Amino acid sequence: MQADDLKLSRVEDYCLTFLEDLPYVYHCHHYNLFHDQTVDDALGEDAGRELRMVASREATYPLIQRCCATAGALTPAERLETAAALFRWMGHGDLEFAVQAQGGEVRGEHLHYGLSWREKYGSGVRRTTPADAFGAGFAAAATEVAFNLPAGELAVEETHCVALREPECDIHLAPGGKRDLGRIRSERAEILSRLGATFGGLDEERIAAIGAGLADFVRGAASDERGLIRAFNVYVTRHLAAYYNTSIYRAVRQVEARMPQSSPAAEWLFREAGHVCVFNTFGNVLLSPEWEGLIGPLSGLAEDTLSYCCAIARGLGFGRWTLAEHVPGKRLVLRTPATYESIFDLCNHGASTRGRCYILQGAAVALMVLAQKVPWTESPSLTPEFYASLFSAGPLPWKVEETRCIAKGDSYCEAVVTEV
Amino acid sequence: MSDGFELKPDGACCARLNWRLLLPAEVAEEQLAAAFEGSGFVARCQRPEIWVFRRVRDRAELAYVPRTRRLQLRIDITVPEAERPGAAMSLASELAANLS
Amino acid sequence: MPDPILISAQAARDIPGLRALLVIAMPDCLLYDSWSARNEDWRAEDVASYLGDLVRANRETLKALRAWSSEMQLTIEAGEILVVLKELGPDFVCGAIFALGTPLGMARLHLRRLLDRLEQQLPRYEVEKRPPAVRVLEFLKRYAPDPHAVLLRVSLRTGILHDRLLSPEALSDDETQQVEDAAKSILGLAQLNL
Repeated sequence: MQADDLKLSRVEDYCLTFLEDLPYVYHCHHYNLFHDQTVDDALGEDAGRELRMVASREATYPLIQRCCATAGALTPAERLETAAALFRWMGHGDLEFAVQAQGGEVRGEHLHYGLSWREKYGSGVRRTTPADAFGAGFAAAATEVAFNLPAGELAVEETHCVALREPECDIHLAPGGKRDLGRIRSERAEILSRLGATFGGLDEERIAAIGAGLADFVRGAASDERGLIRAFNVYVTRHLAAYYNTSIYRAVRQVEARMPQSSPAAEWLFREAGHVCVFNTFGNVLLSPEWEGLIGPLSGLAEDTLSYCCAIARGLGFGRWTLAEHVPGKRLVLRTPATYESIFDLCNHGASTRGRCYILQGAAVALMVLAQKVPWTESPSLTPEFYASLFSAGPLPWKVEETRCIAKGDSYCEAVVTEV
Repeated sequence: MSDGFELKPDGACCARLNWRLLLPAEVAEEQLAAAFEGSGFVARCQRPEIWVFRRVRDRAELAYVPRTRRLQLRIDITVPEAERPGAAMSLASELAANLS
Repeated sequence: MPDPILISAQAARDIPGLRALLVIAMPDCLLYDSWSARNEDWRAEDVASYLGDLVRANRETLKALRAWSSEMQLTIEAGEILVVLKELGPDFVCGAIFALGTPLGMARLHLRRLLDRLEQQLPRYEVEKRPPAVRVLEFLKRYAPDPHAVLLRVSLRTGILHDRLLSPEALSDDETQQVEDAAKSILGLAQLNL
């Protein structure tokens, strides 16, 4: 499957990207694993995995339906083939379906979560539960779409997983699903209708040009025959924003309801995921040959690093991040007319009493760290040890507050980083 | 490896995955694509700013930046971490031989 | 590394190929004393806990094999170094780091003489057992994925406020049990052998 086979669109005013009118973004395995881990920390392994699988099913069922319609796939075999091609195009690996309307088996190879968990953590930690809730949810949704079943009709379980040191990933589908999946509101038309006016910021012309160029480049980045996308020094996934948002916001709200004393820890960890994302994804993009070729070698100047990071966020579909203010090392104001997080929360949960852009919050601090503390011209190795030295060697010298958020009813989102 | 070539670790999202092969000054850019193809690599992207070649056999990739002569060797994620330096050295030696 | 307290720097320097010497208090794997011949790019405090864990694992392995004796010695060859680990009585462990290629027989002989002297100077006291929650959290920080975030992860899993986890010695028995359960989940272990 190529990009041209899909209905893809990008709204440059907000730097949001849509796949079959559903918002999607790019994230690498470091963020994806930390995200899932935090959901499990919040709810426990079993409930966390269940929530992630439900989030996957709710997000992917309409996507697969629409992709099949776009491709003109009518028979179950054609639809399953389309779904498998879509899964590979998204960089999540390869699914081989042996299913009927009553369920069956799906074999997964090179599944993003299992493969990358084993790569990152497998030599040091034993995992006791399978890692590919997203893949399992996708497999269930694809089978239901293929056989015209309602969403949630089938029960699904990942029975083997490479993250459990097993040779392959296997997903079992059977009758008896709960059929109580929610309906996510994540439509392009509704999202755009609820966003306010767009705007620019400091160094706007350069950021806009680089961001648009990156978006164009990553849109064309093809997955290989195994369903892996390698570009800009990272293995990256094209992922539905609804998967992240459903799992984050439901997990946070469950913690707020059941264990309110723990909600600061949950929010802190989802912000930490923003640090992880910026350090690993943005950092590796900056140090990649692709960046060096398309944009040029890094200067190491703080203002360049900040502009580049805003451009990367735009290219990855995170929203139109702009630099509203910057006093080197002292203050950074990141402002955007849209994030893929807050607009989803507003559409699905109504107005919130607090800022809900955890990625933006964490990323804002991480941008300051990258701008002030990383010697880019020396081509540093972005290792876990370097991450620890930047983000956990004592309290960070900066703190962040999300002063405006679309989820609260504001017309834009704003993260303000100041010295502690 | 042939004289003048040097292999160093390069940035990557996973340990020991990417390597930088420093090219001797006498290697001309015009030689590169043929040398890559001679080792079984096929161009995935060959823009004036960036080239990316891939080899199906071991899923290794080469990324080359014409403006800076940076050549990155990318070992596949399925190669165990302990074997990556050896795989990179083997690939570097093969390319160096093609270019010498 | 700071100046050693008990280790004779001169005697250590006389041992051929010796790069560093660490004395570690057990069972908490805390650095008690150290010496190094030159500036190393690692911190003795960071290494000490892992060396202690190694000796403990080695001891348990040998006991399981019915082969343990207090004279046991563990030797590891890696990269450019050779590590020799030895128990010093019931409460201490010594880690000696040699340059690879050092003639081992001679090095062991010199080391044994140094350690014999050292062992007599080490304090004989009942090692104070620190609260289990302290040891569990230290263990987690050493072995958990994303160690920078591990206290927050434990807080989220247990509902114990992060600030309280900063003083683990003050946790109740119930809270300690919760912390231990969280640690087992995070590490994927059925039990923690501390």
